[in-house]
Amino acid sequence: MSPEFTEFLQSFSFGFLSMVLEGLPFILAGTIVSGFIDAYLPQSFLDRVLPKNAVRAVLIGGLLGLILPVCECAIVPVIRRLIQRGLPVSCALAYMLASPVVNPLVAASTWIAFPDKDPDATIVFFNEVMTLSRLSLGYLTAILVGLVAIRLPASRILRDRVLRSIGRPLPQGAAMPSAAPGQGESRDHRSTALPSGPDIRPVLAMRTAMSDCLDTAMYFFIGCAITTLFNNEVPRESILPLAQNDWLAVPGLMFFAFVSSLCSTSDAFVAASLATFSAASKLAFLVFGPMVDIKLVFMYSAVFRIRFVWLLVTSLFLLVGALCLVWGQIPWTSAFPNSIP
Amino acid sequence: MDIRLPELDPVTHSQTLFRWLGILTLFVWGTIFLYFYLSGRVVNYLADGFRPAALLGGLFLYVLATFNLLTVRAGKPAAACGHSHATAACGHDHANEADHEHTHSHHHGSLARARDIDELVDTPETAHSGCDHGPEAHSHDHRHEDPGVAGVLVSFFILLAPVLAAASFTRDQFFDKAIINRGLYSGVATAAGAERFWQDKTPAAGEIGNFTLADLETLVDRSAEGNYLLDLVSIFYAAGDVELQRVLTGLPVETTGQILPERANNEDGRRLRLFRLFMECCANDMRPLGIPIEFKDPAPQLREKSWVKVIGKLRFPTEDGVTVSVLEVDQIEPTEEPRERLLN
Repeated sequence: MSPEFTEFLQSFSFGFLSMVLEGLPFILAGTIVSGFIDAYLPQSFLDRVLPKNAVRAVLIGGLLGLILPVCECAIVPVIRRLIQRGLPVSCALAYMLASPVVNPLVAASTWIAFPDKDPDATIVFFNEVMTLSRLSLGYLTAILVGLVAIRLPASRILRDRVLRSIGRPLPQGAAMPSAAPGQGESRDHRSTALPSGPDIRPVLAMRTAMSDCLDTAMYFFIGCAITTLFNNEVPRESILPLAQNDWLAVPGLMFFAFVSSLCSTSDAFVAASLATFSAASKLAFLVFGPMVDIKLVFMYSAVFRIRFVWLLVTSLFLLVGALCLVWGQIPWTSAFPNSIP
Repeated sequence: MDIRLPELDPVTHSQTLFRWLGILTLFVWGTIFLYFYLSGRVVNYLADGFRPAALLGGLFLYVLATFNLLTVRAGKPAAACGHSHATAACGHDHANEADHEHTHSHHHGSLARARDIDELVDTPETAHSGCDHGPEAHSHDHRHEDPGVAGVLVSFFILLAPVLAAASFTRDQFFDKAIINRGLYSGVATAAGAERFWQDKTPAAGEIGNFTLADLETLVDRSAEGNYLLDLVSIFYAAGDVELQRVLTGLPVETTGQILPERANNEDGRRLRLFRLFMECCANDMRPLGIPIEFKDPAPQLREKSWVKVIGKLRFPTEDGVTVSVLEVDQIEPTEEPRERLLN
């Protein structure tokens, strides 16, 4: 093995392992939650708490991250089980996309990362503006996707095995869903009542957690490997020329967010350090990155159809890009320097 | 190789293999997490705030694996008939249906009442249900997507091999190419960075605006020789604020870092690049923060990436349109590698 290749492997191993050490505990936490949702949460609960109006449910779904903050690594197994327990797909999508952006931890880190006033700007509330803009655009994007998803049949969004497990009954000992006669049968034949016996819910919860953890981790590892490869091998200087023009900077930083797969709780610090890029492009980086990156594309593939995942990625890219370009044209943003010195 | 255990008769080969390999995988991951945490190596991989999560992650992986190991036979009633249902003659996989009222007439209506807990767990890519088989409408689980033993082995290769290989290959650091590609020569000190990294060195209000030499003397330690002890990240970001530049210019400072050759503005060979690596969450988001250090004579030959202590005076010239911190070297000497190679 040549010294260069040895160093390549060692650098790759270091970066890859650091991502695994950082992300896997959160995936595990998410899958343990998903296991207990699967075993204990009756469908009637979501039926009770969610508004019957689909639009209202999406609007609320986009805000769930404020009270149930879940990072982008943990959210995928959680929403998978919530869908199985009756959460509408549109609502789940809004929650999944908004939660890594619209949550208190991300708000706090964004607030801290940006300066409260910029030396060359007349507006002194720079961090407030960036934080509120990030949360607002994140929420807006998530609910727009959710509202579109209302009109799409679940069969075009969800993978077969997720689709067919919707409405599955809780195991013995749990409250049974209050579905109308025949309703459960039409959604999933497995909603036939289970016979009595020992309470298997804890076993089911932990077995589901293991299964979800392995399933999610497999996609996560593939994403981590590609991300590490990009970060180690592609010179950072290659994105710098894009900073000259917002029409290039906004998509450029979204692409950078996509391949660098940063944690949403800390990506604001990286964005703030991108000195030559405009505020609009940094905002695009901060809104798009937590919703879509390489590892998430693979993790989403565990729940959603591949075609839908790519449709989602493309739509989010265009939507966030357009929103941030418009945001960059609002007069008060001209108070921000095009580059933070 | 038939790895199916007799007491787990109703489970297919691949499902049994999945179960046991799953438990093994969780134990392996848990061991790696706990090893890196307890050996202290985790400090080079994760920022302070994420290290407890790695410890908890390792412990919970063990808990999850142990629980699944102890309950591996739960919800698994033994087949009374004493023969395997794994290969039903009808061509469907009846692996989970050991407790149906089977009369070998394949009365599918009763199959739906299978009590096996495995029917309630979606084994990744090994189970699906609900296929429409027309008027017969038998709706029990069967496994058209079952990848078989080979498929399960491939899945577990992806789950285990990269992590095990990475844990073996890693030297807890990036090598030159990765450091350079991650922006060693392109970092620019921002006002945001100056505010963030000088916050604890400025008066209570945290405002840099009125930063004075008196503040520096109060809030920054000095060596026995009177040099201000500053970490390289603070020196790097001092170039992002004019008040800091004004106060620090010409002051003697002492700092440590690693060495690589300098690329720009170094025609006479008097410069080297002194750098530290900084991470927000994990090493994969690492940014190298480097400054040129300038010698009066051609720079000495130092081993690349070796650790040095540098004493010198700061100035803040504008080079290629960007204000940078430059440390004019009075003294340089090799020093011990710190316990934490990456700052956070």
